[in-house]
Amino acid sequence: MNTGSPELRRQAVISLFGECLVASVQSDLDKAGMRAFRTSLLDSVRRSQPRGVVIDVSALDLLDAYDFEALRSTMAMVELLGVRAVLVGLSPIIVAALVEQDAVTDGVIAEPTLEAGLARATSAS
Amino acid sequence: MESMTPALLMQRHEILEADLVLVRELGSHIEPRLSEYVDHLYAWMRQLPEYDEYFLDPRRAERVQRAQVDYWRELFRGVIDEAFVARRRATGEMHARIGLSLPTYFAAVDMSLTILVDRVLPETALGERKAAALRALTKIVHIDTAIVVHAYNRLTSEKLAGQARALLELSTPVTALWEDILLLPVIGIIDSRRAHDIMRSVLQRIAETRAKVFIMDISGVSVVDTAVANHLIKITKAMRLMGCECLLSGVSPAVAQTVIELGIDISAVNSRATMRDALEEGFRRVGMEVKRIGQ
Repeated sequence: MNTGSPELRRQAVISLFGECLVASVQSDLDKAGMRAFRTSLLDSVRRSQPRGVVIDVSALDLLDAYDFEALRSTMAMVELLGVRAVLVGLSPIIVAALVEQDAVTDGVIAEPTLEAGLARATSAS
Repeated sequence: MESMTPALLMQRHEILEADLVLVRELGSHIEPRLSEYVDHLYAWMRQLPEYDEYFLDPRRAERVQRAQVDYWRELFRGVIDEAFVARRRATGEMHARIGLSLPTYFAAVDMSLTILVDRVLPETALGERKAAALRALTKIVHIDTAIVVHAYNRLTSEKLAGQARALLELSTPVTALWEDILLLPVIGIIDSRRAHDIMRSVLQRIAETRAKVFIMDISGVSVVDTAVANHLIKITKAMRLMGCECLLSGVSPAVAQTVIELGIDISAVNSRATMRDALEEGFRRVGMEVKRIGQ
């Protein structure tokens, strides 16, 4: 199940995986791309009522504090719809850089792999 | 480092066959009187402050003296080949290993030349070819010194590199304590360079092992101030982004007091007083329990 413009589809793929919605970000999202991604993700959440959302960024080589903040607020919005959001696939290099840039990480639930992310998104705790 | 071949050395020091012939002739005058040389040299060496340190054992002194005589015999054979270079290299390495300083070594070489030329060599030997012969001898001694210094340097830098490596590994010995639980005892001072090292290797290990819990024991950290606390908070946040929960253990009452008095917001960090408590919490988080069995 893909949604959104063809342009967005190249940058992010949103698909239903069991009871979870998996959004994998394929390339750096610009400002408009991030907005489109956010809208289409929230639409998909409302439409398919998943138990959890997993955002996979393992395909990214770079993720700066600004993009991270955009992802974090997107995840907060998903949570506001009553669905748990889990971020997966951050590489050690990206993590070290984000923390160095003093990125705000409060409230972000992260897991190393898609598998762990799916388990976490559907678990009770 | 470059390799030192006999051919390269001879070329660099401009040693010709004629030089070797002269050195052999010089040797024929000196060799019968090498024991005199040894007496003179040791009379001089005994005044060195290092002497007692190296030659406490008389058998050792005897062995070294014999080696010195052998050395000059070999040098006066006037043959510079692989075997000569190898033996000189071994000597240089030995000096480095026992910690004999290069200035002392140079002084001893210089003294040896002085003794051989001024006291041992008969004054009338070689006639007018004497100056050329002495020049040839000096060149060969210099070759020998070059090899020794080269070997000395190589061994010293190897030693240093080894120490640096050991120190780096020592600084972040991340250990797998249990399935999904990693442990890092942090000892010493956490400055920004160290924090960076810790962050890098910790994240790497978490990525490799997919650990769920990381216990960082800071009982060995001497000072916890605002900067250190911020480093710790950063590391904790980074671990969380890798899906791993950080448990800080070994927080002493003094550290707890300092952190709160400094007004540091440490609420992001999960801390325990002892490693035992942290481990118990860690087990709980990975869904395990330690039970006493039988009685």
